[in-house]
Amino acid sequence: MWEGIAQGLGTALDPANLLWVAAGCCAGTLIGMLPGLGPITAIALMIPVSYTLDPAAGLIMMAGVYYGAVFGGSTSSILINAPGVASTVATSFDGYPMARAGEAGRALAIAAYASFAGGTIGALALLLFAGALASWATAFQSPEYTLILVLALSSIAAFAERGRVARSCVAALLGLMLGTVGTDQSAGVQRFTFGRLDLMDGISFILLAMAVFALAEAFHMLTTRERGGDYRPAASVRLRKGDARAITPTVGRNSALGFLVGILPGAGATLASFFAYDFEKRFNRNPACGIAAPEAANNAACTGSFVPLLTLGIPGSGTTAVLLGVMLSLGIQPGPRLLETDPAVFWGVIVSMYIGNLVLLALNLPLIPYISRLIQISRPVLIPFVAAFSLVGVYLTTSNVFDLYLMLGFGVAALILRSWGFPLAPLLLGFILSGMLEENLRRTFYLVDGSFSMLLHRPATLVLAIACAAIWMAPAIRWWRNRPRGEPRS
Amino acid sequence: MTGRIVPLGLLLVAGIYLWATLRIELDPWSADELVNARAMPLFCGILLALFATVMLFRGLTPTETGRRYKSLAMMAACIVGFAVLIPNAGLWPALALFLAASLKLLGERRPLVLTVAPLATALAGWTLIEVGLGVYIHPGAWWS
Repeated sequence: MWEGIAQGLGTALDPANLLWVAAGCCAGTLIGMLPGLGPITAIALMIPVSYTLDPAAGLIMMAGVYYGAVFGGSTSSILINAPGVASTVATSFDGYPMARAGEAGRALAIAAYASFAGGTIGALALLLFAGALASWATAFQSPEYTLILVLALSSIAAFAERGRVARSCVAALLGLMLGTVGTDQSAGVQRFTFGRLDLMDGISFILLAMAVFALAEAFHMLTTRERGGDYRPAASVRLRKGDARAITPTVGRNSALGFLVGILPGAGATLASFFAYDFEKRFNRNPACGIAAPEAANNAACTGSFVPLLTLGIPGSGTTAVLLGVMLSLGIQPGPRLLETDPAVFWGVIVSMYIGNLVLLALNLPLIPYISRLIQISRPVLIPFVAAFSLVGVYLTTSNVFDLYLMLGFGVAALILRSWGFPLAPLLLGFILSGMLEENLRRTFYLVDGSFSMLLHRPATLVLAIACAAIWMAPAIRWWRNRPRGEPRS
Repeated sequence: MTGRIVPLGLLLVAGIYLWATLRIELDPWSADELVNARAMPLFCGILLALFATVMLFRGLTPTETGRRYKSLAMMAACIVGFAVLIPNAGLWPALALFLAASLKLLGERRPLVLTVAPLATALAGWTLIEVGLGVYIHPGAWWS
């Protein structure tokens, strides 16, 4: 492992890669700070740039974009009460009131230090667990992969917002269906192409990601009148005396919590930040801890979500689904074999997460009072640029005008789905997992050749099957426990 | 009635998808297999139809209302115009025109923003992509 870490350090500390991680952090912060734009949009918008780099540099830059965008989202949450993404909503609960009370700089400093600590603890945990898990996962075969994929898809329902389980499942199904468009990889037959050559290679991942997140976000901003609170400038970003001592235990426990939640497929940074805020507020009324808890948890969860991505090749959230698409486009196949085939990339990405956090802290603390003015960009100016950047990004990667029409259609459809409460991250997750699920399912059927009892002799398969069954049974058990009972007779 | 529009749309999507699934031509060797090219689409289509039917009976409430769809239609028209212009005028002139048109449609009045921002963006894009990275992009039928 130490050899791998040294190799990762070598890759991440390469001057060019350091420059790319810094550029990624800056770009991510700037995009994530813009109201409405979050990490998925930031990563989607940066995909065309990553195509021009070598795989390691491209991924390292994307890790920087991810962290930068998460931090940028916290900035807009604190300064104008307009969280770019759900994972920074909890930060605004105590952050915006602090900003209104004239303590915007202090709130931003707490967020920056807590994010840094959360990301660092997460990166260290990833460093310790990823290699071991990847070595263990090399024994996995198609049956295990099929069940892990089913588990990841089932988790969408398990971790869906209350009252949105069916909508999350529908979004994932739509993603799975879109993933079947094009030439079937095993049989070589055309599916859902309707005779169009443009669809023979399937729907491009970048097209869907840009349409569903960047373009649909521009459409959403265009069609709503919602705006955040008043802008509260931050003069200097500094902690107050005693803040560091107060937030240290908060950061420690919530980073661990966030990392564990982040590993779970489908849970992600949003759930981690809400869990952390709720957990912390049960016994701590200090607003500084109210900012530190969700910030530490969401950054640790971001790192935790890389565990299934890097070790199993399976994304657990919308953002990691986009990152998986980026990896595949760069010719990197994440999974247990990545550690053997491309250790420089595997360890380089993990180490660069820590470096990214460091760069983010070093860049953002002095610069945030200046770059936060970007929040004031008016929507009529912002919307055309977001739309143009996503359209040009897709055209540059596919050079096909048909894709722009397709993108427009998907963007409008995504807006409609969003208006009716359908979450869009499961759609992209379903799309990314579609091909893998079908391929592994086929291989499993060839392997078992009609005798499913052999699966019961594989312990990992058995554990995964039980986990899937537990997820499916959970709503029924919950309903049974909460069922209305008749009044007891007197 | 509005609560049933989206479920109806989903049911229609599922119907078309299932119809297209049954039209997938299978090779003779894979036709008898349990997991062939039709298996997953059939599974997804049937599940979507089931979900949509349940939603249709229970009704669905929108979470965001009062959208200004006129602005969306105008932006969509700009995007279509952009896509039509690319093969003729080339990517960068089309981009400058798209930005200027959409900024104007969204109510931007300042002449400097309407002219300089689109031109500067197109010029920056051309410099970065074509000059800097050496990517060839067809200049457009009007110029070649």
